[in-house]
Amino acid sequence: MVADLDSGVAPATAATAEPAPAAIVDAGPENGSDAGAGVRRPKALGVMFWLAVGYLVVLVLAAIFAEVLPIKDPADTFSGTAKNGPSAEFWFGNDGAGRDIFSRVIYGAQVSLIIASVGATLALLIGGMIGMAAGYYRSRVDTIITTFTDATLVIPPLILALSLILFLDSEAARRVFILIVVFVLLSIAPIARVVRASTLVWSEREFVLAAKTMGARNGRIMFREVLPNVAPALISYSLIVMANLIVVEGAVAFLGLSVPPPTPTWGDMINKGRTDLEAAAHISLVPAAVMFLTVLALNFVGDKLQERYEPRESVL
Amino acid sequence: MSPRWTKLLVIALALSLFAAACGSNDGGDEETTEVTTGQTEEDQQQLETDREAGEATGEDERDVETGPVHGGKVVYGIEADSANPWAHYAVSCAISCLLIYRAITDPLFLTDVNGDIQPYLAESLESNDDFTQWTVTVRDGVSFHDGTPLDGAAVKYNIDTCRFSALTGPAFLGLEDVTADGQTVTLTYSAPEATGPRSLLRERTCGHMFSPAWMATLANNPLNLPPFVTEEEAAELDLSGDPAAPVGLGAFVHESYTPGNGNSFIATRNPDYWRGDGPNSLTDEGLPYLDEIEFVVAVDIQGRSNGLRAGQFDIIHTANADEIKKYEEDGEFVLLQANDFGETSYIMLNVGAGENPTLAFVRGLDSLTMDPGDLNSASPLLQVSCRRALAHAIDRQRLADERGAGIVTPANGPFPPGSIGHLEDSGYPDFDLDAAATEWETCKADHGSTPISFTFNTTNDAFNVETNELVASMWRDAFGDEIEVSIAPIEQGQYIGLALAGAFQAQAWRNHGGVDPAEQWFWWSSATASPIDPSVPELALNFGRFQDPEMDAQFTIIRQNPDPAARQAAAEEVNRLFGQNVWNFWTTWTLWGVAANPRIQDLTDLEIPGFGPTIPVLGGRHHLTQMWCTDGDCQG
Repeated sequence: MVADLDSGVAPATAATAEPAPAAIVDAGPENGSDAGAGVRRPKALGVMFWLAVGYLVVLVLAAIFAEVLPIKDPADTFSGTAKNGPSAEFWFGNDGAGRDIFSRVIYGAQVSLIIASVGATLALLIGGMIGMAAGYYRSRVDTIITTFTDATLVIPPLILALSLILFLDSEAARRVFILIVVFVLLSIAPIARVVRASTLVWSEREFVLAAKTMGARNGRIMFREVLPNVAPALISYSLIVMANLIVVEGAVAFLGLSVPPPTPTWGDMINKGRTDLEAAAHISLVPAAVMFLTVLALNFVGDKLQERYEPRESVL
Repeated sequence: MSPRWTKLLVIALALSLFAAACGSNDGGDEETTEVTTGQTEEDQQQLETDREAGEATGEDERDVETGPVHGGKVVYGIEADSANPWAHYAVSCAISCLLIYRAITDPLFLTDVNGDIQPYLAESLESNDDFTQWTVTVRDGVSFHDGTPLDGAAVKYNIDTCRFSALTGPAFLGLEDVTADGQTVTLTYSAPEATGPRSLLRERTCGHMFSPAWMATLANNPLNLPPFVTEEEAAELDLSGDPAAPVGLGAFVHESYTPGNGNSFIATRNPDYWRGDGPNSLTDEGLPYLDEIEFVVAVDIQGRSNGLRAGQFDIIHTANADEIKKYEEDGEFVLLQANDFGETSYIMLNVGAGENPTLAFVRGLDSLTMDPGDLNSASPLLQVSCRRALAHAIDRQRLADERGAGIVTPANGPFPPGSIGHLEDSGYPDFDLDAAATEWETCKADHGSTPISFTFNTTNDAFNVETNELVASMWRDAFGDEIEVSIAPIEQGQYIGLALAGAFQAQAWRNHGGVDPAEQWFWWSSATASPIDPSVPELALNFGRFQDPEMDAQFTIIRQNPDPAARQAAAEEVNRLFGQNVWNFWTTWTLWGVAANPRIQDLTDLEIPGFGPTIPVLGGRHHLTQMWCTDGDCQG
């Protein structure tokens, strides 16, 4: 820390010299209200938010502990049950090979959630750094990065994903790894744009200028001053990215390019039930509904968090 | 728009999609058609009886009030594209390819309604006393689409390209010499051929005639390569021809072809067809009736079926029993069902290993190693005990019931009911979990390690993948953690190539339809079991690469002995050898369905001049030349 400062004296850090950014937001006047009214109370997240969180928690726990849950093996086929509808033994019914759809939906969540969460996290790290660099340094760095992200965003994501999978993939065994790489590449650009925009706002703030004036180096300012303020919006946006990745994984699986069988994935389950939509619609509709609810819940939670942590000009 | 309204919109859209998906898409309530499929309850009962007996011919039995009308365009949804199109010596030719062949060209022989092979472009076929020399005389006055006449030289050129091709050549082993003179061509064999060349030159790949002038301009033509031409001569050849623009002599002329799923092959009416009404017609029959036929590749059966229902296609074909069953219950479309002389669905096993003295002899080598790169040496499927254990663990009746909609029957060999060589009990392992467990112990000892693991290829069609997942689950039920099967969905275009190159361990397959066991010999001969050697690369028609002197001996009888009883006994012995050695896992007899818009008339029953009608549907293929549309308008 000392070495970061030209003076060789260790003053109070910029962060401690300034009020905490969150406190700034919370303490600021809201919509022209009396500044003397005190600390702004955060807006309530609402019942739907907590229902969505609850659904996601249950889904994640079920996926993590699928092995120990008293559910059937997702690859086991049960003679005479093919295409049967929901029953006491098979809550969501059976697929065309007589497998338990309930257990396949839970195991299918593993693939979707692993690929989406790992993909979103890595994209968050890489896209976040790129976006911060663009937003903080501006000028030529910004031009180069913005050109790259804009160019990437021009290509339809599904087309890009399919092309990359077919180009990179040679063995089904490496498919999860390949999918994660592809999804990270897909997500970097949108995340970088969001972070860049947020960084542009925060890097103009007084406490950042103060840190610069005190001689703090750029890296230190970015990670100690800007990042903590960008992070909440970034994390909430990452949930939306996860939701998008689940949809893309579903589409890729629907086209038979996700993880190889017999590992279940939601997209693959929807695809396999496609031929029986008239006679046994539940085979496709159950995984479709679970995917729909998961994406809806992630979007909802992400939106709410983004609303909550989004910097507002009026507040700043 | 606020996020709340956006979400409501998304939910409403999703619900409407759900509703659309749940709704019936038959469209039958609103649309009526003046044309009916004409299926009665008696027809249905007869069909079920025939299907059970393996004798469903797929004949189009509709009563037609008016005669054929010229005009109209038919769009045919086909199940796959073909690799290396379209010269017969190079193309990987499965059912879709053979359908296209039926449009653009004709074979020398055709199979009649009784399963007998009759002359078609050929006028006659004669042999010497010991069946070592066969003379084919072809019709005079037939021309290819480019004006080249069909004569003995043209037939010789066609046969030579096939017999010197790496792909099709093994099927011609034993053919020593081909000479042409006028309208005749003489084939000389090194050993007797009791049925002659008719089974090879009927409506199969190399039986179809293509213009020698066109083939002479193709770079992949084996006759354009050494030793048939010198390097210097080869360098001077005009090889500007397009192998994807075939020149045949059939009822339709190639117009355009774009490879790939969703793309099409278009052919237009040949005004100078030899059975037409042009100046060079030999029969004045006015064939064909259609103006144009377009084949559109729709790999996914659901897409193909939806295309028919939506009017995108006028005809589709499928071996998916679930889909056939749906059309059976839907009177809006004509449905032909056929399993007579049909194919068998099975899981093909690669057992290539050791030396192949037979092929070494054929090639004039001292020895020939089947797996020089040790690519297949670790496969447990090399052990007959493992193959038997796995076969015992497959419940074929369950496969037939649950994946075949109950309208297909379990297979026990390569010859379906009604075919020469069929046996009620072929000795093939029955579904028996106790026997499976016993064999499994031997398998583990023979293989030397557990888990027993192998890769199981399937086409990437979702239905096929799920069917083969069911098979894998049966094995897991029987052997638990001691077996590991990796299912590998493979893109359709690569699938046949993997089999030819031996780059598989187990692969779902469908083959061996035909009217005579002599047609099958090259699929199972030691002489056609090429090594697994990607560096060469070697192509084998004996995809499973098994070798068995006893099998070879039985086929010597089938090929050389004219006595029907001896040939039948040999074919039955072939069936038993498969039962004992389990070179393939038989699953079900294939049932083919052809579903069509009812405006398309005469889907079957092309007449062979002088010999009566052709077999209606053979191996999923029907003739196209005789088809016509109500009022000359196929879509209505």
